[in-house]
Amino acid sequence: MIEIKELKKSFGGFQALDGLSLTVPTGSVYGLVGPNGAGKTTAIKHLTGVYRQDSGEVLLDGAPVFENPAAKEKIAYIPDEIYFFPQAGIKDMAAFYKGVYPKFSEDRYRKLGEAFGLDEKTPIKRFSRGMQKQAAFRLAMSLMPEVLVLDEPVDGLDPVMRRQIWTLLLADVAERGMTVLVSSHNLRELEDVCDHVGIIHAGKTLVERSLSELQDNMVKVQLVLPEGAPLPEGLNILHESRVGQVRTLILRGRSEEISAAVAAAGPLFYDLLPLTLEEIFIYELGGEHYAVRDVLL
Amino acid sequence: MSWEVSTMRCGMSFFNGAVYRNCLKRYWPVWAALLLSLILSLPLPVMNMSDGFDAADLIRTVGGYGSVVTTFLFSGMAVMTVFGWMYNAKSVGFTASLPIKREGLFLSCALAGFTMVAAPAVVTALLTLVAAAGSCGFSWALELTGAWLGKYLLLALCFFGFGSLCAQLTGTLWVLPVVYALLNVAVAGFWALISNVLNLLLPGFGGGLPQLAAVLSPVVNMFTLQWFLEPFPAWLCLALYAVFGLVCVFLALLLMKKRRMESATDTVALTWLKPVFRWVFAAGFALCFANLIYLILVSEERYHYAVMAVFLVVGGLLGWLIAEMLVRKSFKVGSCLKTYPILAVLLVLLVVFCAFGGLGYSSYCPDASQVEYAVLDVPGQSCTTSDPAEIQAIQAIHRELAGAKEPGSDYSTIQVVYRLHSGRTVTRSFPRENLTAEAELECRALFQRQLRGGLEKMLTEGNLLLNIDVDCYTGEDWVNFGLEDAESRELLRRGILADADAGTLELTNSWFLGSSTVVPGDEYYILHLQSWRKHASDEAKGPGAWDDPYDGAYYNITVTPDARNTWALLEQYAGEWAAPREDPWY
Repeated sequence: MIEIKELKKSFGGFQALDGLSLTVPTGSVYGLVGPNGAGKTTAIKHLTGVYRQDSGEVLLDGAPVFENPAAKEKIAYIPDEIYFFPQAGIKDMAAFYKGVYPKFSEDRYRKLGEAFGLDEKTPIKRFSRGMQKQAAFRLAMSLMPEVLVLDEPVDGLDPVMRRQIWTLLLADVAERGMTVLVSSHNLRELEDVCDHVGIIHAGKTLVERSLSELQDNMVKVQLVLPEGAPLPEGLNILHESRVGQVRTLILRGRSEEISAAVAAAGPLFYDLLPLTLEEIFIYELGGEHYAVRDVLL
Repeated sequence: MSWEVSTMRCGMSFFNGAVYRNCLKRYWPVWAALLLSLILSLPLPVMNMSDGFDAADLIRTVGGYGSVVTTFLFSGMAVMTVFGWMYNAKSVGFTASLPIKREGLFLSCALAGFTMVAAPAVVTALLTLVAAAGSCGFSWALELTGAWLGKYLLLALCFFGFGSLCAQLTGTLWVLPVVYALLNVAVAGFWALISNVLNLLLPGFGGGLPQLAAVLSPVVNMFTLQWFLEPFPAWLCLALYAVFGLVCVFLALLLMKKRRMESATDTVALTWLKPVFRWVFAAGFALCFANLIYLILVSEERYHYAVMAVFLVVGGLLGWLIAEMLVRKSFKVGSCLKTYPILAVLLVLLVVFCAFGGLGYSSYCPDASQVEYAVLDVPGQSCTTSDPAEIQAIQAIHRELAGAKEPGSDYSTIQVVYRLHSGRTVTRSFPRENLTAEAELECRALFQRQLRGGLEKMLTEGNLLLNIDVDCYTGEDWVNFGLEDAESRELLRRGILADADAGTLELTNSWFLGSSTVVPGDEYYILHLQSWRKHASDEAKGPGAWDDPYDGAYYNITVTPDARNTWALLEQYAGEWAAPREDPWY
C-alpha cells in the first residue's frame, strides 16, 4: 500500500504540495487527476524517490521511499518525458536495468518483445514518441514491479497499442497484485481502467474514493416541473442548467435520497443519470473556484 | 557458501557495478582520447630515441607540465560526463528513481570518472616502460615511468576530486567547466585583479602573488613548482594536493546526499550558495570591469581615485544584475538590488583605503634594529645592505617615495625590501615617478657608497681571487682582457678606487646614468668587472661544472671623462691588456 501523508514541497517561493495525503490500496489501479499545476507530477516524483519532501511522509508498505533502495526496487516509473541513455537501444537499457533491479525478468523481457515488436538494437532516440513509450513499457514491466507509476502513460500511442498495453497492465494487476498509480488528463480512459480516483488541486487532496463510491455520491438529474413550481428543497446542487422546460441538475448525495426528494416535488418528468469521471472532475473542481468560465470573445 | 549468497548482488551500498560499467561504456571517447594523446606523447616518441638521456628528459617533461595540463583537462571532461545526469530534469528523474542510494550513485560515478583518467595512464606507463627499457635500461626506465605515473595519479586525484566538488555546486552542464576552470585559478585571479587596482592606486604596493594565493590556485601553483630540480618538495606538494582532492570528494559526497534534484538546470544548485555566488560574481565583475575601463579610458595613469571608484561601483552593479539573471534564469531582475549598496560601499572603501595610503601601508618602515638586511632595487641596479646606517638611508628614501604621488604611467618601479630578523619580509614597490629630486640624490649617494665598498672588496681579496675579467667598451667595439697578476690588479685598483672616491664612476644601466655625468656623444668606457672567487676549501676541485661552489662579484661601471685616473690607466695599458688570452674554462 502506498501512503502519502501531509506531504509538503515548495520550489523557491512556490508551494507545489501543501499537505497532500493519498492512500493507494495494494492491487488497485489508482487514477491521480487534477488540473494543470495541481502537483500531480511533483507527488509522483516524491513517490518514486526523486524529490526529498519538505515535510510529511511517503511510504510504501510502511517504509519510506526516499533513499530506500529496498522500497524503490518495487517501483517502476514511466514519466511523461521518458529518458533513455543517448545512443542506447532497448537491449542496452535492459542490460543496465538488469544490473540495478534484482527482480528484472529475462523471460518476461523476451515475451514482451513479441508483444511490442521493436528492434532491440536501434537507438531508442530514433524511435517515434509512441514507440519510445512502448519501449518504456516493455522495460518497466520486465522489472516485475509491485508498483507501477505512470505519468500520462498512453500519450502518443495509437488506439490498438493503448488497448494492448492496458490489457497487459491489467493482467499484471490481476495475476500479481501489482498496484498501478496513473496520472492522466484522459479521464474517459481512466474511467475504464481505474478503480480508485484521487482528485488533487493546489497541492491538496480534494477527494479520494473508489470510482464507484465517487459516482454514487454525485448524480445528474433531468427533470421537468409544473409551471411555477419551485425546485425541491434540501438538495445539494452543484450545478444547474435549463433548456426550455428541462432542467439539468448536478447534485451531491446518494441517488436513493435524491430520487425520493425529487419525486416528492411532483415533477412532470425526471430521470437520474450516472456522472462520468470527467463530469465529476469538472463539478468537484467547480466548488474549488476552478470552473469553466463563460468568456465572450 | 550458499547459492543465495554466492549469487546475490553486491551488498555494498556505496558502489553499483552497472552504473560504473555504464559510465565507462557510454563515455568511451573520453578515455580513448586520453589514451591516444598519452601514447602519442610518451611511448611512441620514447621508442624512437636511442639516447637514454633524451628519453629520460622527455619522460620528465611530460611528467611535469604535460601531466598538469592533461589531468586538468581530462579530469574536467570526466566529471562532466559521469555527473552529466544531474543537469537535465529527464535524466535526473531517471537516475534518482533507481534503487540506489545517493552515496552509491555518487561513488560509482566518481570511480568511473577517475578510472577514465587513471587507467589510460597506467597503460601508457607500461608501454613507456617497455619503450624506454631499451635506451635507459630497465631499472632507470622503471624509476622514470614510476615517477611519472605517481605524479600523474596524484594530480588526477587532485583535479578529479576538485571537479567532483564543482559538479555539486551547479545544476547546469555548461556552467560546470566554467566553475571548474575559474575555481582552479580563482584565488590567484582575484589577487591579480585586486593587485592591479592597488598598483594603480596605492603607492608602495608590491603585488607579487602570495604563497597562499598560489597554493589555493592548484593549476597556477603546479606550473610554478620545480618539478625536476626539487623532486621532494614537488612530491610532498602533490601528495598534499591529492589529499585535498580526496577531501573534495568527501565534501562532494555530502553535498550529493543533500542535493535537491529539482535544482537541475539551475546555475547555482545549492540554496545557501546563491547569495555567495551573487557577491563573489559581482565583486569579480566589478574588478574586471573597472580594470578594463580604466585601462581604456585613463590608460595606465595612477591615482585617479574618483574615476576608479565610479568604475568599480558601475561594474559591481552590472555584475550584481548578471549574477541575479543567472540565478533566477530571467532578465527580470529589477527588484534584486536591496543588498547591492553594501557591495558598492565596500568597493568605494577599497578606493578610500588606497587614497589614504592604505592607512600607513605605503610609508611603513620597520624599526632599523629589527631589520636583518634591506634591499633597494632600482631599474638596472640593486643594493643589498645589512649596515644599520645604510638601512636607515634606504628607509629615508622609502619615506620620500611614499610621500610623493605623481600621476604617471611608467611601469618601471623602485622596490624596497626589508628582511626582518623574525623571518618576515616587508616589500614596498613604487613607480619611478614617485622619486623626488631629493630622493634621487640620496639614491645616487647610496649606490656610490655601495660601489666604492664593493670595488674595494672585489679588488683587494687577492689571495682568493681566481681571475678578474675586464670587458671594456670603447664606444665602437668590445675589448676583453683578464687581470691575473697582482701588479696589474693593483694598478687598476688604485685608479678605480680613487675615481670612485671622487664620484666619477657610475654603475652602468642605472637610470641615474646620463642625468649629470655623461653627455651623449662623449667618449666613455664601460667596464664590466667580473671576479671569480674560489672557495678555499674547494681548491682541489678546479674549474668545471656550473654548480661548482664558485661565487663572484660583477660590476658594470661607466668611466666618465672625469674619471681621470681610471681613464689614464686604461689608455696606458689597454694595448697590453687587450692581447688575446686563452680562456681557461671554455
